[in-house]
Amino acid sequence: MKNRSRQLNPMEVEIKPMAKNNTLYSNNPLIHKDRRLSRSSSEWVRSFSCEDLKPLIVCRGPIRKEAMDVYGEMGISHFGILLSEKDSIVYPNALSPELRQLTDNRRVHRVPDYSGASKEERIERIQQIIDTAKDNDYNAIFAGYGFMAEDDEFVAAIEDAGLKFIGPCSGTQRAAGKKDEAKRTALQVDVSVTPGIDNVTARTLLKKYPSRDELLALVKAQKLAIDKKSLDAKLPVEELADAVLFASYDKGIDLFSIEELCAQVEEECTAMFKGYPGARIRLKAIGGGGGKGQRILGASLLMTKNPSDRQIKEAAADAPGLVREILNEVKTNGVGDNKNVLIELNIEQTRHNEIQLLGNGQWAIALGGRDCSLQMHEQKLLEISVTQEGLADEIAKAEKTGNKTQTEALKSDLTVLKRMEEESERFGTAVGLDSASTFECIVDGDRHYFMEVNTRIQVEHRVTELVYSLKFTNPEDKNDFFIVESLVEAMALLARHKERLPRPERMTRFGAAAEARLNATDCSLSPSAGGYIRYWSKPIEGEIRDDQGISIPNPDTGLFMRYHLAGAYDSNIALLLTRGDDRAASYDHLSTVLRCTVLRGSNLATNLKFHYGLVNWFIGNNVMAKPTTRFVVPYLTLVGKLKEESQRLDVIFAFLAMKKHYGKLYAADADAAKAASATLDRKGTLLTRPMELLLNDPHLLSGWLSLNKKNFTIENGQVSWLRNPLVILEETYEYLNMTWRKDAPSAEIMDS
Amino acid sequence: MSKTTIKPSLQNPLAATEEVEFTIPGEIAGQTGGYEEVMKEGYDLIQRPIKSVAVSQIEKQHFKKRMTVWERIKVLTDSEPNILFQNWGKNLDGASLVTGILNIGGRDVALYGHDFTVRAGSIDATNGQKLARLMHMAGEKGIPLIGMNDSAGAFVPAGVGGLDGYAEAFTALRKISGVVPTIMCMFGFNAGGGSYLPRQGSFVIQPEDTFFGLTGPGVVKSVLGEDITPEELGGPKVHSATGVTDLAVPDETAALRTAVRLLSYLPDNNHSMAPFQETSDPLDRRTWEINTLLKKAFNSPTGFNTPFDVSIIIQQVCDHGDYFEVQPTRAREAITAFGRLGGNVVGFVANNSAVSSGQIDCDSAVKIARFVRFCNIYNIPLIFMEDTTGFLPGREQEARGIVQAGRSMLDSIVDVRTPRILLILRNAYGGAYASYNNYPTGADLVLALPTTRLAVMGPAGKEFVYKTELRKLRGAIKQRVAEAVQERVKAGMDGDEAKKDAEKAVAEWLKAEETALNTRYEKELMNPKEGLALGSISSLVMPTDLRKVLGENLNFFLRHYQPSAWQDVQREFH
Repeated sequence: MKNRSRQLNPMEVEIKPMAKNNTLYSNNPLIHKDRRLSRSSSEWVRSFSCEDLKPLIVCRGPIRKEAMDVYGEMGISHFGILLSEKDSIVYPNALSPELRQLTDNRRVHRVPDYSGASKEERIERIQQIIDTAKDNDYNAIFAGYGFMAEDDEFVAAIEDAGLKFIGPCSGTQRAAGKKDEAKRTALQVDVSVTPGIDNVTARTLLKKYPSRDELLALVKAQKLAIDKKSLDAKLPVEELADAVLFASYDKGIDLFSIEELCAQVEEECTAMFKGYPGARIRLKAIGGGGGKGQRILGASLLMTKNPSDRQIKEAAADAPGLVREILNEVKTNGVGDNKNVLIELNIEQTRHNEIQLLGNGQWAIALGGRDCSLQMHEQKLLEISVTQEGLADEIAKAEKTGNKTQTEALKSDLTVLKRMEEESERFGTAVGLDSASTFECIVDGDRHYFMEVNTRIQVEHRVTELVYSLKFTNPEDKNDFFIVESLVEAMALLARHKERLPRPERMTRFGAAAEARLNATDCSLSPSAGGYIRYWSKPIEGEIRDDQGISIPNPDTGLFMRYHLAGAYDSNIALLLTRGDDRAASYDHLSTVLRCTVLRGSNLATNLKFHYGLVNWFIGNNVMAKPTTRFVVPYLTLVGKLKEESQRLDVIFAFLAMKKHYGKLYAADADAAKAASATLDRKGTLLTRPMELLLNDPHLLSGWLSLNKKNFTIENGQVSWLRNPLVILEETYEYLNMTWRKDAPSAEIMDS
Repeated sequence: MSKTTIKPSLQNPLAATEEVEFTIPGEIAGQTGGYEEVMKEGYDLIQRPIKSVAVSQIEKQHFKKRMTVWERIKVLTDSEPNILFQNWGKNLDGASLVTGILNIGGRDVALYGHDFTVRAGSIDATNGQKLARLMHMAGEKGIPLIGMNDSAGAFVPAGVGGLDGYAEAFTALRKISGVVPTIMCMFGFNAGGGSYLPRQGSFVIQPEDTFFGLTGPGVVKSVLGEDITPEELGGPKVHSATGVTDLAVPDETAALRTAVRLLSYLPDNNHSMAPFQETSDPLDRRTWEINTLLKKAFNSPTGFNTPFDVSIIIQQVCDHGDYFEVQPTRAREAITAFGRLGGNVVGFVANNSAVSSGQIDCDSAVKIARFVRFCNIYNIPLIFMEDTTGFLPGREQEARGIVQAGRSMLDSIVDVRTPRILLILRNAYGGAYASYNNYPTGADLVLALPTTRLAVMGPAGKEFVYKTELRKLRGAIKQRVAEAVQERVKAGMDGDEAKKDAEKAVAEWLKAEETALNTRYEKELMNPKEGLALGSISSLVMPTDLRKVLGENLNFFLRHYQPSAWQDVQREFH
């Protein structure tokens, strides 16, 4: 027999550490570490090694590089990426930067796109992806947060092909991803959903014909053609009522009058006002849309904590009139029309909060919340961590300073968060969640409502990674454990070891984390693709820069490689994250990160200054403030007003006026006047340069005004400084990143 | 305010004055005397060029968003500059010009920069000579030169001396042209000699908000009565459109960083190779993307006439997809770029069908000629990529002298002595093929993609190739119409109507026959077969193997190439 010495599989290529430059970009202790469980001294820990996992990464965006890094660090040597044409040939200089790191051509595969343009193409593409995986000896697929990650057909096809999907299984995808099914499950496991009534017409009918027999008699009398299935006596009587109504629409008759319907709506509204004191109610015609056929009632009760029965009665009395208006507006007031009206609680001030979930099919664990309320056009901009520990600390601080309003507000936040976390775990277990998912809620004051579950890892997952790590302990020996700080790593572990993984404990890592999405948009946040990045300053301590690899230098020359922001997928360039002991510290550091970020290029527009202004706006006001999802648009409007105002100011003219003023002051002493004039000349740019920068960029000005509002008062149009203006000038230089830096070109310091 | 007037001052009365002591550390100081005085004087002289400049002068420079010469040097390198003749000039202040040797990425680079804070960086009676000395030294030692131009021109009080100064510098720079490469950054406002001198260099980089030109707008106004802004007269937009500026950049920092990047592709001198850079990008990396790009283009509804951006092919061939385009905004029907292939610097000259079908006009011809000649002089191998329907014909081009411009391009290509490869991507017709690095003009290797359409003429060529067939077809028209009319009348059609119908039918027949000939022409002649058979093409190469085949062949030629100064008969040029 031939001596079969161990041969290196040609595909097992040693992972080359990125060009051994120990910069914070390629070697950041916050996100990079040796994750090889196979190196552990514990047998139990070693048994969770994932080195035989061979994942094909089918996505792009910052997550692609992150997955490559994490897999490499886990000791997974056989992973590959699937490029789309937009990564390589559609635009010059937009070549996937990850290729500088992954130079083994055998691990780079290609498809025209990930999901196809049509349904047929999508099915064909799914098969192509599976074939690519099989032909190249991969045994798992990771789809990041792309479209495919939440496609249950895609996941099912992967499972059927005998490959592992690194993400929730198709069963979970179906149970949690489909909105109607998810809502049903939510109700079953006592998860708070938007309260409302969607069958007021059936209820109206039931008031007239309260029993099954009476309804059946009606069917007979009116000779209604009714589906046999609805006659099943085991079904709730409401369903029979609905079926009877549908039959009546077909026949073109009314089974109740509009008056009867209005009375029922009024009754339901009364009940809802009682159940949700201080809230308004939204009425929606079933056939409405685009804002048509909607009315809100209960304005008089708004903010009333304990409305009296009389107040409620008065408010509900508006309902009949509004119902008539609505039906008239959508023209369903004729005989035989479906006159159903949805009665829903009106969500006033909504915040977008989400809970990070992780599970293995048997257990599910909530990993704190993320507040993603700062968004525009449904695009998230700033995401911040919300944890029970963090809130408890803030409550203690607020109590100490005797700030009652803040204490109350934070306590309500804590209660809501606890409830959301409990519900999310119940929900996760109910849908058999066996990977990472996000439980999304809207929060309105002290109420929250479940919206949907995203059955995939999300863009902002690192916010959670920074506040919690996971401790997996051997059930037989509490001193035998390993710690996971990456959700991408946790997903790989779950894909490989699923049931064997014990429920982890969540361990606090940093007190708070924040993420700013750096997008290719102009200062009004309109998309602006097509620019070139030619220089990006090195990351600073405590900065995580998930930039798809744009900052990976040419591995040979070490020079920055220009990158064309072609806007192939979306406007996102990078995610900038940081952490702190508490939210204030994380905001402070995010401000530092944004300030120190120098991005240069041609035709380049980003929302960097927007973020810098906004973060400092919060620092100046209150970092614990609770902005709603409707915050950004009015904020931008005000920033626009600021620009209008600031453009009326001529700094040089003002400076010369000041010089004249001093000339008059010193008029008596020619010598002193001359000295004053010379001195002022020397101070010209010192003063005018920062002022011009502030006045030219309303985002910078917005943040600066917010930070400094405590430093001055305005009386009778005169500004008086409450602190030494020289110190404020120094801080302004700091704020504008204009303090002397040894390594920076002086032009960059003067004109940051 | 206080009652008594206080005279403001920027002197800090509390600041300790810094005394420099000239003692050896650990030495017990003895009696001080004349020696210390001389040391002090010497120390002051050393500090003079930097310290003697009034802060207000620096502020003025900063106010214009410009850096001082010393600040600019810091952008070029972290290492301390080795400054020469720093007390040149009767004021012992270096005479408004800084010259020195820099260490940039481990390479010695000669540098000059006008110091605008000293007499506006003007050229006076003697500093032209200071400049000339630096240039001579750069040529002698064989190190590249970077110039940071920011000069108001000749120092008028210096009289004719300033003009002589310029003439001396012109001459020195011309003498090192072709010996060492030079990169010129244009800062500030340079007129007259201040713009001729830098354009004698190899590459000119110009930021926004700068001007250079024969004369400033003031002179234009007084001589021609024309109102014009410096931007419109000699800004980067104007100059990068003509090729006077090779690289337009946003600002000074970008200019200096661009200079460093460009330098990484240039050799020190005309007798050494450009820096080799070991690469982690495998030479046998398959270029799948090129295949996808061509497939998408040629299978699209416009078929083989579909334009595509050739820079994507250059990108895929180069190490890690990194390349550096020269004159990237001008005449982009031809792309000229430096890149590395297997670590060796290569000059790429590619027809770009995405712009005017890649047709070569006066601008692109001159752009190619200058780039090719530079690579030739400095031992940089060349890869030509051909995909053009030819030279752009017409009255305008003739009036601009396309014959002369095209000749420059041809001359520069014929002259090339460095390794040179031609890769035909698609179209290679007629005169453009003949003048574009084929075997007869001296190519080392001609490769072709299977999509190659090498022919004497484009589709119009059928008129000549199928002359007899076409004559026969067209000659038959009369007869055919007559026959068809007869047929129709026989069948009972009215005379006029029959004629009309017959003519229509015959026209359709003719069109179909001509299309068939077109297809036949494309099939029989617009392909690489004849070129292969005649040895005009050495071999076909598949799109996915481009990096490997180009890289391996380049390595072969480079193994047998010795860099040297170009010694040849001086031929007429331009």
